[in-house]
Amino acid sequence: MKTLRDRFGGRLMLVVVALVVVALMSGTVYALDIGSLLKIFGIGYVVKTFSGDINSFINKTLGERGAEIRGATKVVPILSVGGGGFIGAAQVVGVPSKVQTIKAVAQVEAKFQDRFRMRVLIPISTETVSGAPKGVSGVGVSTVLDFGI
Amino acid sequence: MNKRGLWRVALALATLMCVAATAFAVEAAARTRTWGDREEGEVLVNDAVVMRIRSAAGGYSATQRAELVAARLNGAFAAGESWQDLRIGQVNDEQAVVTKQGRLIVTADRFHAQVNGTTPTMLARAWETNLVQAMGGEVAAQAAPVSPEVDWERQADKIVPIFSIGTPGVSIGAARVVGPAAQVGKVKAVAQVEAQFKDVVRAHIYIPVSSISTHPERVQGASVEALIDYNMPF
Repeated sequence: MKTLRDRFGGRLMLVVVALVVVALMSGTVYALDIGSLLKIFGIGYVVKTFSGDINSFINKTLGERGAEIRGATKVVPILSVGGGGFIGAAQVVGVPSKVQTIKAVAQVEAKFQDRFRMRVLIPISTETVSGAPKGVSGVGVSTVLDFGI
Repeated sequence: MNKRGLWRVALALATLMCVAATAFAVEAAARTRTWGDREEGEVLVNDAVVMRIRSAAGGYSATQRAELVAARLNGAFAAGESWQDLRIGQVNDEQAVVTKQGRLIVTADRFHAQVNGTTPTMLARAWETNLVQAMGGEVAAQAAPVSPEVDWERQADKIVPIFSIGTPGVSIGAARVVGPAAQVGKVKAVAQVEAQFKDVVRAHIYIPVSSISTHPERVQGASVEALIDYNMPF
């Protein structure tokens, strides 16, 4: 009678080794801190993974100062219009049904009179921007988050 | 059950109690934290930071004051006191205290309250909440005030100065706020609060407020749409 080892030979061993490696790697990912995750996977991944924690942290900080927000809040990545890619994160605030639709905040930079620099932050319902970003009415920005690597 | 059986049951129960006691042991500790060029002391309960002592006082450094608070907490834990024994009290306009069974744990003074952009009583309440949560207790749910639905629709905009909530009066830029016309009309400035999340994420929180003071009141319905920096010519 043929054993499992006889039937599948080295293939079974390969699958087992692959599974062990995958299991070890996933354990390593969970063990990494937010700074390491930022370096490996980038801002977009970190914001999606920790958005709930960061949102609670901001709301708790506001609550401690008696400045809590009466509206829905959510943390989303900031997308640089022109530069491309995610450059930070923002907490958006507003009408609950509108806040749910927000996927990112588009940042447009403008200079005037040489010395003034304006960063316009527009909550949008997409993760990419083509052309001029179209904002979602009823939603604004409460917090801007920088990530230090 | 014979005598030997009884001994086994007693031994098992004792082991179980030891394991349970270890699992639910509450321990306070203190450590130093460097924030810019300032030394601060952190008080931890079960590895969770429950408060930060940000200044030296009475001949003690910030870290030594944090160690003192941790020692008071450990004394209370050793005496079998639980999170239910925690209380806060207002001493005067300048100070509030967190106590356990009537014994002082920590004083929330005006300086620490201002650093946190709040009042001494509110800070004492926040520290008490952190302690209760770190000790595995339940924070008493406070009845949410009944308030009308806030309108966040953009109808008007306005450019106002941004000031740091730690040092009111110091303008650090400007912001364009948007929201319903009536609410935007009330906004006099945007208060900026800085906070750090897990040492890597720095949060710049912008609060549209109706006055420039140490205890500004948020204007609900207004939010920030743009930030404006001025590049100094020198």
